[in-house]
Amino acid sequence: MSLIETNVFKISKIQYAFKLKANFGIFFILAIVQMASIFFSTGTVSSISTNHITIFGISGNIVIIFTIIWGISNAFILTGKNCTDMDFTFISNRLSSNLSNVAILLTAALVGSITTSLSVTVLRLFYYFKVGSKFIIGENFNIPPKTLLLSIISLLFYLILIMSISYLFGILLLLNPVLKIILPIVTVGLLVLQGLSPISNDFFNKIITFYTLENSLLLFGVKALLTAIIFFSGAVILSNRMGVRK
Amino acid sequence: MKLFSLMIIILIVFILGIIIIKKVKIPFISSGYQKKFFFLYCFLLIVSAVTLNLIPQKNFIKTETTNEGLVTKSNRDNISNLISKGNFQDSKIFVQKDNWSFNYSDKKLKIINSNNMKVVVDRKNVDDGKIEVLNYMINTTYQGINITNMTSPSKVQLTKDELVLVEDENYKVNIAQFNLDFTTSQFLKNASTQNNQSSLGFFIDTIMYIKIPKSLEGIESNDIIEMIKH
Repeated sequence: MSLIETNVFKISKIQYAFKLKANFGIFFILAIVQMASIFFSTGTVSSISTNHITIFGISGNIVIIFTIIWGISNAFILTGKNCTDMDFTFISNRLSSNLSNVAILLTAALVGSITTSLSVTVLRLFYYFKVGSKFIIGENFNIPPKTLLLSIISLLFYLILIMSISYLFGILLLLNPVLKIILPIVTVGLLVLQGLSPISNDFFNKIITFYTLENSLLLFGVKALLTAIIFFSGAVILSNRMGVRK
Repeated sequence: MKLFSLMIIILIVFILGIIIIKKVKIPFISSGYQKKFFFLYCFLLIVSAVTLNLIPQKNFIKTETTNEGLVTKSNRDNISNLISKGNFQDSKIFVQKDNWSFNYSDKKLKIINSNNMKVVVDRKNVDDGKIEVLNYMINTTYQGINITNMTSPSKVQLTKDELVLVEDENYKVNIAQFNLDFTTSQFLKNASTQNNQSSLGFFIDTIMYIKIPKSLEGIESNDIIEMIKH
């Protein structure tokens, strides 16, 4: 019996600080991933042309997709063997471990959304110095602070949503190693089915458009955060069912 | 189907990424170096964002917001009528790009039109011994951008009794158009990835308006020319 009284949030906070320090490499990877995606974005994304004039469409969508992939991998890293083994070095339980993991993911989402939104400015500057202003359409070139803030917040919601789904998947993989084979097959199978069957296609489209066609940032935030809470809660409940060190 | 393909690609990239991370031994990089690298990257991003907002907007290509003076479906029929009358100055539809003047005293002239340009010949009321060539373009937008001044430059040369009209076929213009990211445009009502003004259509023509002296009577050409009747 210990004389020191503590609670789960205090322990989670200490774990969060330690894990953030131990997993700082994810931010280093983020920088590398974004630099690579900026480089890929300098290629033509889309173009329309007449006999003499070609208009190249450039956007930061590639950087966003790469950042989303980075976010998914973070959720899997935190539910991986190395990180779960690390939990046993702390005086903790599954709940505090999960809370600290969620806090790490939220921090990663925030950093990821800010750096992604800023990285599109690098892309614009690259073209500005490469071709000059005479060959760049002024519309959407400058990013006003209001648009930049909108970009950060919207991407933050997207990253939280996607990371919560990945985190639940990661916990499922921890629960049963057989799922390591089943889950990718089911995911690919569902995607193939979506492409082939109009009924399932409609079902998946409805799920995706539920988020992607939402024009109100507030409503989108509510949808994304509620979904993330459900997935994170599911992950916490499932991981509580796990035994001791696996 | 497009979404399906995109998701398959993302999934494949992700699975490949996981395999590469697990199989390939990444060289050890100290946490201190990682921190320095990341903060330097963040610093560069902030500098980039500040620099971008300091760039003046005046030199950039502006997109058209009105159809005034531009070729539309309704006034397209009127263009042929204006050309046949030689009314270039009176209309906003035409933009003069260049002009040339040559001293010429012969009674015959052969016009060589290499690029199927529209050639309009106007006989002057005076015999001033000069051939004047005026190059007009039809004021045209493409994807909301006025491309009238971006089209290939024309050249006119007079050799003996031949007036050669040439358009630079190798001339190319590349324009960069920045679109908002899909996560941002989703929440902006006016955001569009493609400018909808493409409905104005693509209708660009080079017109060579040649003014010849009164005494020059024998006009020949390898292509169709239109003579203005007064």
